[in-house]
Amino acid sequence: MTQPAIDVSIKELSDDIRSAIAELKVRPEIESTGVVTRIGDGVAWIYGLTSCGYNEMLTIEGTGDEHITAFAFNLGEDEIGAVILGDDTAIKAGATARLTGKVLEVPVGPELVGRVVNPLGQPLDGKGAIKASETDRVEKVAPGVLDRKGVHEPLMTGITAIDAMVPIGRGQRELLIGDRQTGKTAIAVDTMINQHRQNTGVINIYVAVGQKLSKVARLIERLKREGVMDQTIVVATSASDPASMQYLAPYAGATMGEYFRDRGQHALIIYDDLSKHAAAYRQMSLLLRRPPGREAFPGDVFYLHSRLLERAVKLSDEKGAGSLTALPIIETQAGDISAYIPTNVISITDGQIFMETNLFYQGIRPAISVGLSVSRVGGNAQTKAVKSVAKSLRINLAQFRELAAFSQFSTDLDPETRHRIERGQRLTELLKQPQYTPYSVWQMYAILLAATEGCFDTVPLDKIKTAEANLLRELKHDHPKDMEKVNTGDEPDDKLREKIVKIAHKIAESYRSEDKETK
Amino acid sequence: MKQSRHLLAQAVADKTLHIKDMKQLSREVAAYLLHEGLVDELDSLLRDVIAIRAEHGLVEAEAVSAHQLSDADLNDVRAILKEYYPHAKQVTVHQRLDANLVGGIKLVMPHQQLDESVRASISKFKSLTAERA
Ligand SMILES: Nc1ncnc2c1ncn2[C@@H]1O[C@H](COP(=O)(O)OP(=O)(O)OP(=O)(O)O)[C@@H](O)[C@H]1O
Ligand SMILES: [Mg+2]
Repeated sequence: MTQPAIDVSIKELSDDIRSAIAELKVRPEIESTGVVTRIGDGVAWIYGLTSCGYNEMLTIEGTGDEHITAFAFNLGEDEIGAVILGDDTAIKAGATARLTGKVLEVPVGPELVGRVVNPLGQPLDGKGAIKASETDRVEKVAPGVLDRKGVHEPLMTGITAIDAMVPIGRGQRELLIGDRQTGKTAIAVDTMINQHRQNTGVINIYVAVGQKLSKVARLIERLKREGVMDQTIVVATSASDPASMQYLAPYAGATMGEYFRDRGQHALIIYDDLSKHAAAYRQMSLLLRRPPGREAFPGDVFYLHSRLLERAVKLSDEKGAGSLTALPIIETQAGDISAYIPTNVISITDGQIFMETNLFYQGIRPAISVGLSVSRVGGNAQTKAVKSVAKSLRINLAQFRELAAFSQFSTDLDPETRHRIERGQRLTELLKQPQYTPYSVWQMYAILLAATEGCFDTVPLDKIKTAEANLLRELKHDHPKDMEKVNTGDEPDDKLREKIVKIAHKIAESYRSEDKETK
Repeated sequence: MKQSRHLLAQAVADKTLHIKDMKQLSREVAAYLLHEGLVDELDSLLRDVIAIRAEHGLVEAEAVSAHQLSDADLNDVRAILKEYYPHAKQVTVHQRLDANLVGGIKLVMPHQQLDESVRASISKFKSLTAERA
């Protein structure tokens, strides 16, 4: 038991308080020192920093000489909850905490490109310090309506199914959503690779939230191998990082992307994934005793993602016409898009690409559900060339999937239905695309033209992919100039169009003769 | 949600019983009162604190008089306090001069007040005569 301090007198205390009040009134900065009252689970409770602002950075004295950075997350009446960025075991109750007067900032600039960093912008790739000359706030207000412009330039993914049916434009926010292991990350990675292959100059920012360390490492290896790292920043957190770091990662990545957006350049940011981000936020909030709401998420979880995704925009010409495109990823449970976090993010984004487990297991990869995927603003950004051959694709495919399901129960189909089904099957084959092979505009154009013109209707299903490869090979070798022209994105003239159709028919013909005896 | 004054007094009293660093405590209380706009309540707050501490045997009283009290006077005051607070472990008396009292002594104790000042006698006398008239 502690002995009562004998010499304590309330009279004295009263005098002390009075002089302290007088002092505080003239020296408000004294409020910038507080005392840690409790510590644990990466969270410190600090008494006395009443003038602290939300997200303001604090430094807390560690047990050694070190100072540990934290940021204010909960602002209470007389105490604040701060999230510790670093080792919380180095802090003991009674430690002094100081306001820095700064909100959380990360380094920004071209120096980060090619690097793997944590959410504080510190290097994780062992390539030495990042010599960025600028820093910027992690939390920033999104540009206002007047500073924006409609999405109108394509952000090609190189994935035919997407660029044809759910085209994405620069500055758009398109959600990649689906159950685990349905190829969500693969789409994001291919999109990054495509920026490199097509020489778009778009800077990629890949934000890994709470994934397995080995998975992130493998992804980075792949990006390096593809030569994409040279135009990519990876902000990496893994499941073993504190919730606070996982929470911060997307905002830090957004800030790094905005640097390019605000300088008339174009950047693409991938949040992989926001389900884990919401979970990290929930964990942090529970530790900080914020009242939980639906699915135990704090009530402001909507704002968590809306303020993040609002930062992806196409800027007006006055603002330099730069853009930040966002591809957030959400993992669903058993395809349920009506759960809390999926519904929220769907309502914030400009469309979604829905990945279906069923399709994935049927070998239809990328496993994109045509019916449930939309792009609300990308139509204006689609290249004319692709647009000209993609018009009826969606409807045809959707009808086909319906008919295909129905035809399973019917043995004798009328010729019209049979024809639709056969066309659909071939379209489906053509839209299958392996990983790491994004297509150029001319490749997409040729494939889609052949399909929609019915050139491949007579090719047996298991030969469709080889026929496709032959078509592309022949076009590339024999008509490089023409293909260059298609690649500009302008709609090819009728002559060129006819030329390609003719070649496709010729190739199809060769399979027909092979096939004759078997049928 | 403002903490009620009593809870605050309880917290402050608790701290005075256990901590050594009164400067830190006064800072905290000062910061709190300022932040909450409760500076005017400081006197009442401290009265509550004194009362709570008295329950723990730490009696603190103020002896107000028109003239400087002698050591003998102070001993008398301590004796009176011991009578009022038989369980007191510690008795502290603060002196304050107030010429308005004319003579005698006023003893401000936790929970109560003993006014043996000349001014009090006069006003008592006045009120008595006023009632008669
Ligand atoms: N187009 C494709 N063709 C063939 N295989 C693919 C394709 N896309 C993805 N895969 C394979 O499917 C598996 C899952 O892909 P991916 O990791 O992209 O899915 P995910 O939805 O991100 O999974 P997770 O839920 O684990 O994050 C991987 O082994 C990947 O190589
Ligand atoms: Mg993934």
